[in-house]
Amino acid sequence: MTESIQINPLTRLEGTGKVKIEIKDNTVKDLQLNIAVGPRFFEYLLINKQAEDAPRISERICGICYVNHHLVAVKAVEDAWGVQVPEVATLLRRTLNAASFITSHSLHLAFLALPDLINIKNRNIIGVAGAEPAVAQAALQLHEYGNRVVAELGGRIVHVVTAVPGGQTKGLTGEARYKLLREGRTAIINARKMADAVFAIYEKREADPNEYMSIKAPYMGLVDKEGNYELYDGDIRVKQGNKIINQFSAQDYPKKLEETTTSHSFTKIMYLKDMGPISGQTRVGPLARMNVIDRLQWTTSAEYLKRYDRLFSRPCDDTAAYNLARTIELVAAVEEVLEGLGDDSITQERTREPVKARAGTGYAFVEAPRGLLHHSYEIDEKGIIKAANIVAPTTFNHKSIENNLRVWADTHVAQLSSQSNRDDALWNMEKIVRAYDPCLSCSVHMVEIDLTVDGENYKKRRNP
Amino acid sequence: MVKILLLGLSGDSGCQIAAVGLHEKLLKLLSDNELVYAPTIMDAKEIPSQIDVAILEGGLRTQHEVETVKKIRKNSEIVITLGSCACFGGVPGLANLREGDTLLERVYLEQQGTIPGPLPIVDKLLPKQVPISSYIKVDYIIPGCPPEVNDIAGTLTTLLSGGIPELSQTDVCEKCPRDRVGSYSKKLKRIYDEVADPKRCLLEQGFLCMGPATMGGCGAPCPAAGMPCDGCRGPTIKNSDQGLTMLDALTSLTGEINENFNLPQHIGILYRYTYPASNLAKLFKGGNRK
Repeated sequence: MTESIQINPLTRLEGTGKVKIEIKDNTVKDLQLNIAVGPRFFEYLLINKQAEDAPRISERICGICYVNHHLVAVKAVEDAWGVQVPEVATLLRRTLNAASFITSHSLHLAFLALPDLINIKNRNIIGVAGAEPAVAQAALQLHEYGNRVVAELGGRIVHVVTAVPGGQTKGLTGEARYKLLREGRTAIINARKMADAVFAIYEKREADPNEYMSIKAPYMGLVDKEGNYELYDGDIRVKQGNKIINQFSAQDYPKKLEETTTSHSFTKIMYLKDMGPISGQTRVGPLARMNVIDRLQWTTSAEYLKRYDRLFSRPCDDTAAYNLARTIELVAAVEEVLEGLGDDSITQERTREPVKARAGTGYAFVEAPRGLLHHSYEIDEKGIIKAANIVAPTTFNHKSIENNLRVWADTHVAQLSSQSNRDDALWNMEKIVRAYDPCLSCSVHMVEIDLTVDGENYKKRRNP
Repeated sequence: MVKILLLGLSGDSGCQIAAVGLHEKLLKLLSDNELVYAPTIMDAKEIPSQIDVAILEGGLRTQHEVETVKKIRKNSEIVITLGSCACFGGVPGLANLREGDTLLERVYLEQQGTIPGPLPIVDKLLPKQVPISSYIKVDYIIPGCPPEVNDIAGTLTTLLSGGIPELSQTDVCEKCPRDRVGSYSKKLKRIYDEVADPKRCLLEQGFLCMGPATMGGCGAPCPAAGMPCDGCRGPTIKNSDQGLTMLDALTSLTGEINENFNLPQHIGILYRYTYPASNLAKLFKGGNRK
């Protein structure tokens, strides 16, 4: 007899997806993560469009990581055209990219993660606001601050517009800078408030290595020249255990990375070419970033990293650490924004230079809140896109999420098979998926769990 | 207590994220009413049998989505489409220039850097991305990519207090801070060609700005930030086809069609958000619905 269970749809995630589990004779026979957001064919629809429109078209891939898509697209076009932008443009973009981490991480922690972490009955933001009003308040204020910085530097709150090959169409006025700096003082207090709350939860809880499980994979993320934490530029570093096994620039992409398809998901699978499609599948995102860096260069977030190290020694394979790493990054993002705004050169007026289109292929990476993001474009001499390739963080993480769920299901097969423990087991599996903060619309979008145990399909889900 | 459903289909959840920007207002709206189904932010797994207001984001790309919206329509008093994907098809609708089946092969099998494996068989694709009104009756639209926070709040509060929400009667130019001098460039320019005069109308300077053909109410944030309007709010209330309206504006303002105007190149601007709902798409065989 086979029993099949599904979590369908997976909730509190960005997008549509489903986990399908088949159990027979107390063994997990099959487990698949299906990403079922309709594929929207961005790589195709970008063909024959003007290259300068790529930042505005491709950011429509994602309602959360739009800033990162916008910036990586312009970087890729500039790489193809051999364009250097004025320093102030880089500073503006770097600050904009960091601001997107404030909005995304505060939203994830308050709306998606905290309902699981504080284990309330009403598992949503209303529940969080009831149980931890100060934390919910801090999160919403941070989200708003992130939005303000994004709107100021990006021209709009959602789907920004200011990046153009050659620079930024909008600079920052002294007045606007002063206002954001002043509001930033509250933002850093709120970030500490949130971080203290999340750290307290972790420090009080009894560590259970089987709650999320550990899985080993190469970790991949950006670092700057000194090995510091980096979100906008720099090299791609790959680390396995304590060893740096690879470090390369964006332009090495075709030599280093490759994608393949799978029948059960609209998301592709990405792997390191020299390791092959099985062992070359990497983990990206907050956990990976904490694993690949040599140091975190801002004081407050570095303090939290020390506290993190007492709970999870790095390199850390435990998926439980994702939310804590994300919390550190929320603080780091506020610090990076304040550092950017604190730089007097940010108000320089000449934020762009005219540029010339030329034929070529450009590659770029940035860190998005949920992990590494890649765009490349092949452009003709008239500045028209002839081919596009987009690799979103969930494409990198797809297989790791699936593997993670598999090892959890293998370990907890008895719980999954028992009627009375099943709801909690399924909730735990959803927690694992959510820890990765998968952006399923980026990778194509929501998740449901479909469980079959000995032939009997189990679909009923609690409805809090 | 009004029962509200909030669901994203084939889109990017950006409109829901925009709605989160309502912050305290959102919390109040949620606690004064009952959110009965919203998988992005809460754990309900089944579509309820009684819904007062269903808010749908994203266009339709899969058969499953079509069945879902049909069920929602049956169970709902009022259906609102939120955002330009739901209202007009949106940016993903630009892929309609090719059929669904070949698209899968192209993106999943022929893409450079992708080693072909099996094709995904997760869900049956529709031949095209289409707006929600292609399959069900829609009562109100809130266009924009994403809509302005005030549009979302305004529509909901009007509706919840028993009023009828109205769309903006203006175009984007109405609130644009840039000035018109009255003379237009005969040549269309690319945005990277030169640094535009920060005070003057972008269209006059030769940058293809969709302001005259686009529904107003947004306050023109894009031209204010130095970028031409790319038409995310869809056609004005007086027109149905955004691209044709823009072409009309271009010819009447410049006296002739611009010398380097080229439809295949500019279709991605003229119809960036509305291709599936446009008259142009209907001219092509099969229209936007099989």
